[in-house]
Amino acid sequence: MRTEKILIPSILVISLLLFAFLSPKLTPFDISEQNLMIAKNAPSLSHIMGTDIYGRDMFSRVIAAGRISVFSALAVVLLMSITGVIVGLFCGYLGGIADTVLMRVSDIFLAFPGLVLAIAAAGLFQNGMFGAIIALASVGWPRYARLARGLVLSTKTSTYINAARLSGSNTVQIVFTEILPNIIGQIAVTASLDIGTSLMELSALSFLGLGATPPTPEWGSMINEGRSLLQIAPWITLSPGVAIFITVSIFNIFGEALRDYYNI
Amino acid sequence: MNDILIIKNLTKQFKGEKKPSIENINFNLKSGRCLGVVGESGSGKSTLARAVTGLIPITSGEIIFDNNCISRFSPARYKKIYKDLQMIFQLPRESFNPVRSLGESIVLNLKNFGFNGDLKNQAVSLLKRCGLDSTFYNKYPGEVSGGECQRAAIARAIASSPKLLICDEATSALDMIVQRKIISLLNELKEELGMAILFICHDISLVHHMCDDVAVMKDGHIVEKDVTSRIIHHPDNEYTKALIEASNMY
Repeated sequence: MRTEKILIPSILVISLLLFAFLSPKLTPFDISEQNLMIAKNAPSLSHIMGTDIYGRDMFSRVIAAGRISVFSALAVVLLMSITGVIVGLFCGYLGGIADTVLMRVSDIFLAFPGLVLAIAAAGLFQNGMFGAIIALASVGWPRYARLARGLVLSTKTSTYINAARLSGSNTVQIVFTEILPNIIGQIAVTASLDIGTSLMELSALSFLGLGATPPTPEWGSMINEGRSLLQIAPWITLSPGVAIFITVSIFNIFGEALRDYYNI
Repeated sequence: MNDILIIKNLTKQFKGEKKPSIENINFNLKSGRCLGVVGESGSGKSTLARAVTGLIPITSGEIIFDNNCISRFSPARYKKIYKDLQMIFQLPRESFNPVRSLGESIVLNLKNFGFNGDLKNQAVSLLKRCGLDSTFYNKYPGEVSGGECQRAAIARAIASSPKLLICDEATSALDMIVQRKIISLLNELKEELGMAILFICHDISLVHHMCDDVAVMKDGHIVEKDVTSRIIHHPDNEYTKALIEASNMY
């Protein structure tokens, strides 16, 4: 029953990832081909999501933007979860001065609103989408460090950890082969629920001009492009908005299913 | 027979505690002998076991194991002696990583202690020696009974043929029949491998069946220590007498 519940969300996520990966090959029109004669055209049979201010096919651009938007969000989550979990694992297991210092650093990060800090960091990096990914990951790792540390603290006094020490396992072995497999479920659930949030934050940075730069199609920057035309050509803003909504919903459904699967 | 374990004035006081959990503990354990440590809950038996194995740092005193003073060893140096010093815990299921099969846990032990060759076969042989067939290699701790899990824990502990095996309430969580079977298995292994056993238990009747010598602990101190028959039949200490009476041995 548990496996059945996660089956459909998993199929949805795999399909989405496959779609995002193959998206540049699935576009019916060239994403950079401009035709001012058909600029700002409303959705029709030939252009089902209409066209933008340069006459580019919105449907093709929304599909093509899927790859950069989805995989950038995944990169943010991977980067911040791996960094945070490694920090949290060692802080929790070893304790001492390194634990105190790193946890105070994470407290400082957690004291500010994440997106505000990310905007500042992205402005500092000035490197397009790559800079935005680094910015979000650099402000997001402390939550994972805190989570992993807490889980390690509740696990490290377990009898099987003492048994592992008596089995001659060293610190690295204990942390990665004894503790990590037992806490990975909770971390995976948090990470899967964070993919949607990261996607929205990346879109927000791009919307503000701190992420992907034109003419690269990215959902956040596409919303920004259509912002001034919201009243006369709402499809330019709504099309990428719908894409964000669907993608975030799929990842959230998957995260919820994963949480039920691990019984967390 | 030489002393495999010598404990001199061993004291452990936890932070924030007003008095030590164990204080001025002294005893010797000879190779091939079994010393029982009995006492009520909270008397310091498990603290003694964890101190000897280096799982907790001691406050003062000396622990000499196999002619090495190990009381101030770092965790890295302790790792080297674990091949000869093993422990079985009270709750067998909790002593195994829930995401690893029983066989894989034994293989990990063999690998860490430098054993080569077909480790899976060696693990299966160890399981068989402890009365479990080869199907238990792939079973997880949650899939077997407490007694079977404790047998697997014994198989893991004897994998490196240790010189000293510490059994910390190893039979307490098991029913009476399984307790007897585990005791007889431990006795067989003691004879076969020539290892010393530090048998920590709250039930003096089990110690009577298992141990050559007995040390009785109360409030962190050893109140009486001698050969088992003398302690059981002619106890000097009032607390020992009370323990024997409470055990319904006669």
